[in-house]
Amino acid sequence: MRCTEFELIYQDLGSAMPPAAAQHAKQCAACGGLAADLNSISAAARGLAIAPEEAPARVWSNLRAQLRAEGIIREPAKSGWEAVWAWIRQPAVIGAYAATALLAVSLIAHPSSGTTASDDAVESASATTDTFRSQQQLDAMEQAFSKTVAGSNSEVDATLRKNLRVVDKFIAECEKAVRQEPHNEAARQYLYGAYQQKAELLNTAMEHSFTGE
Amino acid sequence: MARTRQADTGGLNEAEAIRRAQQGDEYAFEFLYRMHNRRVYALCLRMVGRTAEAEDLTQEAFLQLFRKIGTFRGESAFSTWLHRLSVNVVLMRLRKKQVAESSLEETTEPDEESGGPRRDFGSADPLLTGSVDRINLQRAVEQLPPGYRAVFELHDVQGYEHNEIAEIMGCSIGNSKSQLHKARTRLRELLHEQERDKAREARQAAKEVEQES
Repeated sequence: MRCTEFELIYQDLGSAMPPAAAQHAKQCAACGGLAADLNSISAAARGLAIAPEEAPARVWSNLRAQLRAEGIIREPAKSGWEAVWAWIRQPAVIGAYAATALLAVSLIAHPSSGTTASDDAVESASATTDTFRSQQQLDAMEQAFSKTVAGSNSEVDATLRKNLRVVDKFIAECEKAVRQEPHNEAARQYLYGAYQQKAELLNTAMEHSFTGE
Repeated sequence: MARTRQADTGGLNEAEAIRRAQQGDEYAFEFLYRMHNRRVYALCLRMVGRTAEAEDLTQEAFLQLFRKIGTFRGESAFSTWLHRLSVNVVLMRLRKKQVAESSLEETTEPDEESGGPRRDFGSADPLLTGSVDRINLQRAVEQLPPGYRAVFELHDVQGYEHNEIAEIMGCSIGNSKSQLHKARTRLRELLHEQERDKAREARQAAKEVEQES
């Protein structure tokens, strides 16, 4: 066997070469050395392998954003939670929140001097909220919202739910404080801040729903 | 027909996920990504060595896949199709780099098209001393031309069979074997060069010590 033939056989079969080629490798230092070195390289190469690991989360985030931008993927079907936020995004509902915030601003901008007037302002704020809450659609939304959030294990949903509870409690306390001390500027400021917090929180939730993040 | 694999999420299998992804279902895209991203990321990471670039290539490979998913008819396995795309994406990147580097300095790389490293058959090359060091081997692998490197990575590092590589690379099994042999032979040369450089450095260091004393 010639060296050129040996190399072709080695290339094709590797170390599982036929006896004639093995014999040649024993007799020819060059071919034997070549085969030994290439076998060593091949064996060492296995040590270069890395354990497959998950690509960082940002790869999927970037990919998804790109696929969305190109219109390759469509929005997933809306879950109850997403349907709720889609409903919240309606102009009429946003308007209701804006009215609540404006009312809170008016409490600060035009503080009333009399107990009755302050009570009226708080009552008015509450009334607006109550009116808002009394809307049939909002009731349905809150029920759906509660159900969805209760069943959701999402970290974001859990945080939103927790924050809404905190803000609602804070609003109730502020309203109580303003009723008890209508001339207390700080109490009114706190109430205003609480309304603002809720508005911001809902805005964040709407943003969450919009981006799906 | 495409081979299907049961996944561990929600009973969805690969074939169903492909069908839904073809309709633009985001969940199906994510399912397919989660199913395959480890191997693609590992391949990219091995081939380019840098995390950020591997992430970029992984994203690019999946992006190309998802752009074309509507044309997937299941003639080959989905994973083979994905790996072919991934290898192509990586090779394109490596070749671009190589062109950029070649324009700055004279390359001594063998011509992949014309047969690669030359060896005078029967001439006695010195044997590699001892076992092949992993760090030196990695350094040598990084100097391989992209085509050789891809086949070497797939076969010797990641353990693919030649028939799989042929499918992935879109070549014949014989071509895969030939490329692998050339890659190993070139690695042997590069490792010899490293050994010679080390020996030269050692001699130089010994000379300097001798002169100082």
